[in-house]
Amino acid sequence: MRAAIGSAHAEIALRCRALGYEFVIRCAHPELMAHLGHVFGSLEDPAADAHVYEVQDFAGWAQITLDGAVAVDNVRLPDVVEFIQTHVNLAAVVAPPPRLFLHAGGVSSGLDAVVLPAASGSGKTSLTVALVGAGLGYLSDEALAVDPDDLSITPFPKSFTIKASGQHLFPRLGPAPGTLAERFTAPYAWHVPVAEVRRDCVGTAGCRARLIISPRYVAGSPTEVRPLSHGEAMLVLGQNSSSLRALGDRVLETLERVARSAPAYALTFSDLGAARAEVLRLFEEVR
Amino acid sequence: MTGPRRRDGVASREVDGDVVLWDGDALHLLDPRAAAVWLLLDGRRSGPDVCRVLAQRFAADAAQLEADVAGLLAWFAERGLLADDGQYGDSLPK
Repeated sequence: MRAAIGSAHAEIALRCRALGYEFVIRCAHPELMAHLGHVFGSLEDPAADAHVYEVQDFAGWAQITLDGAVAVDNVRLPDVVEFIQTHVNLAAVVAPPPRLFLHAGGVSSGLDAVVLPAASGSGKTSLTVALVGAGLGYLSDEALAVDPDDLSITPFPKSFTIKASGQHLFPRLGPAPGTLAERFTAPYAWHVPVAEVRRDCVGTAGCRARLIISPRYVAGSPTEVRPLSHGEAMLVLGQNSSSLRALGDRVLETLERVARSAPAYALTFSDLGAARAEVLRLFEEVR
Repeated sequence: MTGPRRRDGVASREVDGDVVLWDGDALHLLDPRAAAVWLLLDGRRSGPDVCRVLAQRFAADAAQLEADVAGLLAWFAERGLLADDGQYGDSLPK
């Protein structure tokens, strides 16, 4: 985090990059800024300087401006992180250059990646956290950028967003009582800094899919994997992409190349530990 | 034009016997039998023509085949994948 002294108060700014989207967060509330720095620190890029989010605190309620225009008003302080994170996620997906953006978790070992495309609520983040905790590199818990030419993956190592439904799986990652995290965290989503799962865990840029697994949490179900055909894999990848139109007439060609680059499976699970073991077993098979 | 026709702008790609369609908004996966029907929808063949061609390729009960083709044409139409020529309605298998 970098600090600068303003005319009337200490102004602190955090400069970040989310894929091709550069942004700066400024906040005159030192404790909230410290928390924002903790949550967004894994995206820090001292050279970033484009869009500016400015958070102003009005007696417990915040106003957030983006590039000088009011983006949202009367936000509770615990909702500030959620607002900025959501906005950054959306902006990162539309920022150039055109890429295949997958709504997917991603983990890696060296230059080999496991891509976990799935809809919201499927257990994608939980499985990603579990795999990073098991020693794999972290690429993203919800947005992977795939270069349509060489199929390389650019990491987007945002903080982990653990929704209420998955928080019981990771009690040690919750905000500790009496901390800034507790004060500025809304109960519906923990934004867990990457280093709190495992230090120095961000995966390598330029890795490529070696395994595609579409996870789906189903309460009470056994752990089952079903191989997907290339066509089914294309469908899963495409249904979990928010950028297909940007690829123009390369949509099907790009999806097919990704689908053919790695074996693909549908994974149904209710036991996170068993699901993690199954992914690790399949990853070991293909490496 | 006398029969159902694939809408212009729907991209398709054959992948191991399946066909994946991209209509500019959504993807659709066709299994080999649905893909065979899709590839025959050139606007020159009527629904019954499509059934006759398929009957030569697949060992299937004629009534079942007609029902399958009718169902698939309706499925394609519901998803906006067919050209809106207004020409093929009468050509659907009854």
